[in-house]
Amino acid sequence: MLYRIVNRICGLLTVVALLCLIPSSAKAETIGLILTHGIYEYERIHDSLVSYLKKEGHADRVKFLIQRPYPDPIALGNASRKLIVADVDIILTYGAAPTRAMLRERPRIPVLYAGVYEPIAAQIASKNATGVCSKFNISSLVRYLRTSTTINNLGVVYYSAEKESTHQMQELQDISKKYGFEIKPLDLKYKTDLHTMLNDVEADALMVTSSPAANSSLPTILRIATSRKIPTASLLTSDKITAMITLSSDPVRQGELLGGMLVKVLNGTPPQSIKPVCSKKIELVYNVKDANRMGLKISMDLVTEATKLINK
Amino acid sequence: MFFLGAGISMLYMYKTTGNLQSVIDLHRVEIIRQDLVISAQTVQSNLYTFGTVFGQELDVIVDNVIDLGDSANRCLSCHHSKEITEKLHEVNAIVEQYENALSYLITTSANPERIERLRAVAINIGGSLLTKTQEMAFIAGQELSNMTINAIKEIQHSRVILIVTLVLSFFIALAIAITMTRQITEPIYELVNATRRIKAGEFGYTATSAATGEFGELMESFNDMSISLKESNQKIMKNLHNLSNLYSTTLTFHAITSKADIYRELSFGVAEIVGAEQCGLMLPEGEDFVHMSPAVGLTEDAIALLRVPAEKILDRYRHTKRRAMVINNGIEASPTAEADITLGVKNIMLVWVRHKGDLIGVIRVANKKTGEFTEEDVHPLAILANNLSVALENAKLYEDLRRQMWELKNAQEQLVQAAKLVAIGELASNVAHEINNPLTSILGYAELIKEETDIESIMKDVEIIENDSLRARDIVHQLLEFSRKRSLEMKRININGLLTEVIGLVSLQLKDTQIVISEDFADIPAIEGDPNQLKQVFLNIINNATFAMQNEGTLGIATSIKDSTIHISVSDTGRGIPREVISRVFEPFFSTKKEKGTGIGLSVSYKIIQSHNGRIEVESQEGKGSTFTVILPIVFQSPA
Amino acid sequence: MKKLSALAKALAIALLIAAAVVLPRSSSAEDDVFLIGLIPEENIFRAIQKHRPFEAYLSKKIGVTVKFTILSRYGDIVDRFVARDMDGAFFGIYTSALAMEKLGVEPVARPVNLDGSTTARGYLFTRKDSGIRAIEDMEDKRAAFVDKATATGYIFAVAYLSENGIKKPESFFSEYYFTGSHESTIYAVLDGRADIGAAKGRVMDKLSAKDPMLKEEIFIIAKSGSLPDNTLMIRKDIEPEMKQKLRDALLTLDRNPEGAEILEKLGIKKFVDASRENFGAVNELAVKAGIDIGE
Repeated sequence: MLYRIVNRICGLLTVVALLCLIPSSAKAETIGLILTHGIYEYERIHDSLVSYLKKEGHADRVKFLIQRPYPDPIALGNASRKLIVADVDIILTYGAAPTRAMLRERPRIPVLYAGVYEPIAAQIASKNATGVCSKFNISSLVRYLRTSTTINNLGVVYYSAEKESTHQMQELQDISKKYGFEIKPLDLKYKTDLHTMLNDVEADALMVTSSPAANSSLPTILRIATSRKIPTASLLTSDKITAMITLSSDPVRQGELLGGMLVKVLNGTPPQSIKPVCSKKIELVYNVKDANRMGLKISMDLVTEATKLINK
Repeated sequence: MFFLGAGISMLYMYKTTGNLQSVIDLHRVEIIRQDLVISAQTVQSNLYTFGTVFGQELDVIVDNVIDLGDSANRCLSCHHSKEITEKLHEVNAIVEQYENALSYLITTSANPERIERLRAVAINIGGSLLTKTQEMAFIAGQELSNMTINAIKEIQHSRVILIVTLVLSFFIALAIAITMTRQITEPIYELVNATRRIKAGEFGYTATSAATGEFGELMESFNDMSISLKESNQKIMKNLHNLSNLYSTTLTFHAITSKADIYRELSFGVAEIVGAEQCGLMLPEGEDFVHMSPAVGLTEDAIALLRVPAEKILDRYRHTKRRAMVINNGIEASPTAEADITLGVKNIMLVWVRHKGDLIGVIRVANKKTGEFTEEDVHPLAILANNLSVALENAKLYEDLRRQMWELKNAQEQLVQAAKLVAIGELASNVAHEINNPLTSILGYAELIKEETDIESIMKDVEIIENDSLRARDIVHQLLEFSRKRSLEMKRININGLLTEVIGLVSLQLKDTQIVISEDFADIPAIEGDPNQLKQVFLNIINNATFAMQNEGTLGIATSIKDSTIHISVSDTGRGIPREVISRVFEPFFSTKKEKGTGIGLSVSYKIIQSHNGRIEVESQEGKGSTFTVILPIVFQSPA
Repeated sequence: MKKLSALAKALAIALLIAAAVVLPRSSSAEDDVFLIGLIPEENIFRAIQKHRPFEAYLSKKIGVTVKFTILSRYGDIVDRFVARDMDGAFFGIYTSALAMEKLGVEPVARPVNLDGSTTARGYLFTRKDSGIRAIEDMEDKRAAFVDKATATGYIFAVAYLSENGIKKPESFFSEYYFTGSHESTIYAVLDGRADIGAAKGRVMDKLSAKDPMLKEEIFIIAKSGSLPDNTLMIRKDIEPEMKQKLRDALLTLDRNPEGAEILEKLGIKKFVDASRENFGAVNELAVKAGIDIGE
């Protein structure tokens, strides 16, 4: 008897709590968003999405409920469950690991993703999910790196617990065989070892995969590598400190494509009828200043092909 | 000779002109560098000004850049200092990059944004090229001035050399004359020389000369003399060496208090001085003389063998008229002969150690490494023996002293133990008394209840019984608390904060009284301590203070730093503690609060502060008040 | 731009008049120089330096000082030829045809590459993983070309599309742009910035020699026929005697040790005769592509 009353009160409280979460404006739909903490690329995708919605006049139709978990599986899982419990209308996820964490909870809510390098390789497949893939050719990054320095040993920062990062690692292993250089894997499984790993690795260049775990430590990684005069290449854009070469799928374009999908879903198109698209626009940033500082020959091919040059 | 001088001068001249040539070369580098700078500047200015379509200025750029490359390469081909060559290589590398960047810029079409980017990079590289050449100019300039100075110096040198050649040839002629004379007087010189060297301490130096006849004889007898001088000098040196060994050994004796150390030092000292295989000391023990351990060259088993009746030793001692005994042949004569034979002794020396005319030991030295024992060996050991007797005496005195100290300490401990027993007895009787009081009361009231009928009186009695039981329980609790050894939970604490907390607790009780609290907190550093236990201490002391004041007065609480300690004083204006009991306030179960106190609070407090490496001091004036001062170290060091 | 060139013209005229007034009309040093343009294919400074002995040799042979200069960018080639008052130039495939049409220059000779070829081919290519294999896969894809004035990097591709029924490439592709160089076009396709590209085969082979991955990633959809590359053209008004001297000097280069040394330095085998007829294939291609060279 008592148990039943308590139960009922609890249920009532939950409803009240959820009512508080749902915005008062009845028209606006609540968009749950997993925006992993400390990753500049995801922030840029989101900024682009928001300005797209504004530009297209859909800004008032949505309210964001943002979760900012750390890029570890437990935090991502918790954030996912919170959004599902909050019963949002649509869920957005940026990055493969956050998207996988969300889909593991089997939400009935439509999930739209962006910043997923290769959805199939990252094992992202769900009836409710579609999104924007950010596939580009890692071989190009290796090629540009080779125009600026000789590679015999390439250090690769990746996270073995993330499917996408492991997949990129595998791709690099295949490429290394063609060019005849060694891969020195630096697994972020134990984050506390990061400094030691980076200080000990004997490599003439360092590449950082698009793992959220790796990219939340990107400034540290780049700082150590640069101080050791090891040229760096990154698969995700970063803020103040940038790798010598960054090759990534243009986050602005991804945000726009995602915005387009979101508007479609808001207009009632079921997500399963929207095909995932790949953003073809790439961003190639060449940090000439760092190349100079490390005493490397300036690669004119890179200067020519870059979409952005960091010179000062 | 003159030709030689002329030759040297010519050589110098040649070298100087060579140097001048490199000065000129360097000047040329500077000219090339200036060319390079002009070319680079021209290209840079063209880069800033040209439009998207190239006209004449493209040829200007191309010509200038090719000049630039040529200048850089021309510089490389001549010989330069490492620094300049390094800079030149750097300049060359930049020129190459510059060419590369310009090539891309000139030939790339497509979008203007890309061209702008290429232009910016090219301009940047051009800029660093100009900086590099500037650095090069600086280094070259320095080198130039150094070289010029050197060249001038060398010109001066060549002048000097000409003059020196002239002077030198005169002297060489002179030298030839002298040499010829020398050949005649050489043996005499040699003798004089030999004498000088001997005088300088090179004993044993023999003059070498092919001289015959009188000179030859003289030379021979001189050499004999030198050799015998050398021998006697070696002897002196050896004695000196022994003396210094002796000195170092005796010196250590006086710093030693342990007997074993004396035996060791002696054995090794003797071994060093005499150079024998077995060295050690024998001392009387009962009826025998026994060899001491450690010793040089003797194992524990060997030492055990060396036990000789004292009579035998004393017989030898008297027989030798107290002079050391040296046996190089016929070991049977030794008082330790039995053991000696077993130990493979070939020769032996026994030196007597005496104290106030009595034989107190024997230094036993056997098997000299370099032949037989001599009088020379005896002498230093005799000195050593004298010193040894003093050292042995000292060691004995020291040992006596130690034993006495130990006995004293033992006696003291026994005394303390006895006092403790008394204290425990007193404690037990106190406890018994304390618990007996409430128990008596409980029993009394229980008896009463039996006879009472009205429920109200019964309830009243039960209440009293309850109160007294609680009191008994409190006493037992506190007693347990006192006896329990609680480990400290050390934390960094702010004493002022802790006191404020305690005052907060106390002020609740003082609400209805006329007691005023005066705080005077100094700025004190955080210290290490167990906050709960310290709180208990301050609560105890402050409670005592307020109790002493009954209902009115001033409770003063102050903190201060003195040296490396923190002082927390709690003063009251109460009745004070009588002089005759002030020394007992920290004893367990001592209380001036009569029936209201258990007499445990202060003793527990005392124990707690002690475990914090601190102390509590009391000052009191009867009728005026008391001050309890807790003194805690700022840096806590856990007692070893 | 137009304003500027008008201004330049005016200035040039003014200068000419001034020169005519001040200086007696005589063969000044500048007049005696025979200026030849080079099409840039590598580091231009290296190229000019490589041609230095060649300059000296030709000067000796034709009796006039020969100088080489750079033709700079594709779009500027004809303009620059005029602006620098060149006497001749080594033109590319399409620029040769263009220069013949616009400047009335005449072919003299062209080099034979070390592999024996005197011609070049254009490639139309994609990334292997793009799945594009034929025209029908190309619709709505992004295309990158080198420059409008390249036969291998543009005109051949347009002609190929036209032959296969695509008359308006600009609306057939979703995106359509010029990168400015053969290398850039290849990089654009490799990076995925374009799905389809066209470039000179020799440039791709050169990149591929340094980059073993390239062959794995690129799929060649079509190749052009052989087109006459790098032809020396000279102005029509050069006296026939001089023209003959120049041609003789070039064609006999491989027959004397000094000449052989020069050829080795330039990385070519020898020079062979060139004529207008060689450009039939280029003109055909232009027609197929619907391009009027005279325009």
